[in-house]
Amino acid sequence: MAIKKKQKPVKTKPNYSGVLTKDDIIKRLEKPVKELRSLVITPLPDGFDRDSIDLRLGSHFFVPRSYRSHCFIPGLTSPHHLYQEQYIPMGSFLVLPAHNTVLGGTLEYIKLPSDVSGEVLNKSSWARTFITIETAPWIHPLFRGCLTLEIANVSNAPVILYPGVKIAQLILLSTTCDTSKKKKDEIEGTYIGPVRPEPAQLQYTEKALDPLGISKDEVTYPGDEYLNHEDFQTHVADMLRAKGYTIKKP
Amino acid sequence: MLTEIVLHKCTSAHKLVSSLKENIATSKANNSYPKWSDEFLTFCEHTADATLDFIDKRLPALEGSNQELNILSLIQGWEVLHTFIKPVLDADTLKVPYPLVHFLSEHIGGLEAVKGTKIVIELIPELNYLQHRHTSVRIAMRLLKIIIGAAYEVPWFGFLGLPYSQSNSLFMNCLLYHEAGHFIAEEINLFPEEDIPELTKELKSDFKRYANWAGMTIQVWMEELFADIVAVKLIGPAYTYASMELLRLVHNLSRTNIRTFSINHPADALRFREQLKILKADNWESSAETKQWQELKKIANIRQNTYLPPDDEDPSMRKKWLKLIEFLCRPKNIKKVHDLADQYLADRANPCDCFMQSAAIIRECLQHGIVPSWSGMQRQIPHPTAIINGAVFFLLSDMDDLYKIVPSINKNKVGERASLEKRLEMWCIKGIEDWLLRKNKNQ
Repeated sequence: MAIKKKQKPVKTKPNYSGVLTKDDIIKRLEKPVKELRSLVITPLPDGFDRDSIDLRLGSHFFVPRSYRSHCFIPGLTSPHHLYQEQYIPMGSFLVLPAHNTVLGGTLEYIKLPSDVSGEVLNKSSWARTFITIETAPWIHPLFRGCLTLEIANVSNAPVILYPGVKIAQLILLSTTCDTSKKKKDEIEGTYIGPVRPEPAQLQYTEKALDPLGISKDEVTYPGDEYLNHEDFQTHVADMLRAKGYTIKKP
Repeated sequence: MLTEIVLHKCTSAHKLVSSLKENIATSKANNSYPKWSDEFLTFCEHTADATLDFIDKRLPALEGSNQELNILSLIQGWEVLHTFIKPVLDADTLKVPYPLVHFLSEHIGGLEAVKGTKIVIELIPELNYLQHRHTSVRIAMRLLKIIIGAAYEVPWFGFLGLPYSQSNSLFMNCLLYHEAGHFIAEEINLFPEEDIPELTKELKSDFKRYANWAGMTIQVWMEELFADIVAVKLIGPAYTYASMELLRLVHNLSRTNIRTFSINHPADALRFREQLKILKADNWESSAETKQWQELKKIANIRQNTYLPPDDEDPSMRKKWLKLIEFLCRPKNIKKVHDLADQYLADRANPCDCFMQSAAIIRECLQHGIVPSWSGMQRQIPHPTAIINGAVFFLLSDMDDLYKIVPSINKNKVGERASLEKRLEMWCIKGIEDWLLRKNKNQ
């Protein structure tokens, strides 16, 4: 009778996902930059909370502007059409009208360790003035850059924003995800080390829908009906005739 | 009561000043300006208010002949200001590398020779950097102050123009330091006209009635050399390399072009030779060892007897030009320029010393895609001159280290290469911004 060999239980690394405390944060900050598990926050804040880091508002903003087209088409319209860049020096201010939005950035430039993710949250006092600062709060390990903040004033009164004020808090969470096994430092992602808010870099819709099996021809865009030049001319000519104009053929 | 003629002139002046005031107010509402540009514009707004008030209320009370004299002087003053306001309005903080400009203003304004100077930035249409001569506008501002009886002091403004195409890049804008050198020369009246006879007494026999012209040309060339020396003494090789980069764009640093003098500028070969002397004296040689350094040495070694005169339609002038070139290159005249720079920059800090203190940390930061204001928990941010030079050396020699950690960038594709180089410049501008914040805090 064959004796079944007893299988050894596979040893797995325990999942130590947890929030980094002030001491953990300081230890990470003390590591040399070349170490994968080092943390960088520059300029360094004056102090840390027990489990979070306050982040200050930077001087660069993308202020929405009235757009000449009827809509924004992701990947097709340049996002620069949506915003006007503004630099507000320290001491000066930006007025954020009621029910308006602005893209801002943190003053702090951050590099996360390879085994740490981050989450940016509202500061509770700002939240009480109905200012929200972040709608895409997750930061991946090894990210570096100033964080872009999608600031919205959802209150009924204009709010003054001063660069340099504490506006957000960063929570760091240790993770056992794959990136912690990385052997070398790499900058990945769409936004490489930004030092100011950067407008969206969205894929062409055709490219984005391709993995779902939606072919290029199936994707429609607003205004497609006018793309065929001759049809458009006929359409306009018909409209004008209907209004009593006489249209001569060329 | 105003006469018909004066009334007409007053109305024109009123319209001009109101319109300028409106222009300033509109631009200030939409944009933010570097610190001293903002102060200059505010100064113009206040002066406009006081001018309008003067025309409306106080001018009619003056005697007839005084009325006309005052209104004519007012118009003249505003004509001068008019040429300065628009280029300043165009240079809002988005179009200039604000932290670099802010630092430059503090750097220059901190020198004992021109203490308290406020550098105002202009955006100009030329593909060149220039110093807008400020003596005329300062006279105009004082004249206006006296006429309208304003109580405020006229600030010590200097005006530097940068080409709008350079906008907020870092490295090329180091050329602003050369223009700052011209500003210092004008401010302290370094080459006064009354010195010309003494300067050119040895040329008198050759130039006779052209002696004054010869003297002025020598002074113009000397001022160019002085401005170069100021720039190199203040910001080190970053300035020299930026000049080489600009010349490479203009004439590819061709052997003929760099040996040729122009009416306004000495040959680039001579200019680089004198810059190299300063760089060596400041101990940059061991740190600045790059391909550019070798090229710089080659240019500096070009023999001065091969320098070429400016193109002149009159062939008989060639000899005169060559005589002037020989005169400028005499050791005592070159030494005079160096001595002046030493005298007026006696209190400057050697940028090489700042660089040496933090070169390693700056390099390490850039290798890992980090803003070079980081020095761990020490909270010591490298000096801006160190950041700028560290970044220039990194760009010239160590970019491969950065490409290694950004796999999405193909260094053989021009567009992608340019975007990463631009990102490097942005990190350095951010580093300077962080240094300025730290300095403010420490004060």
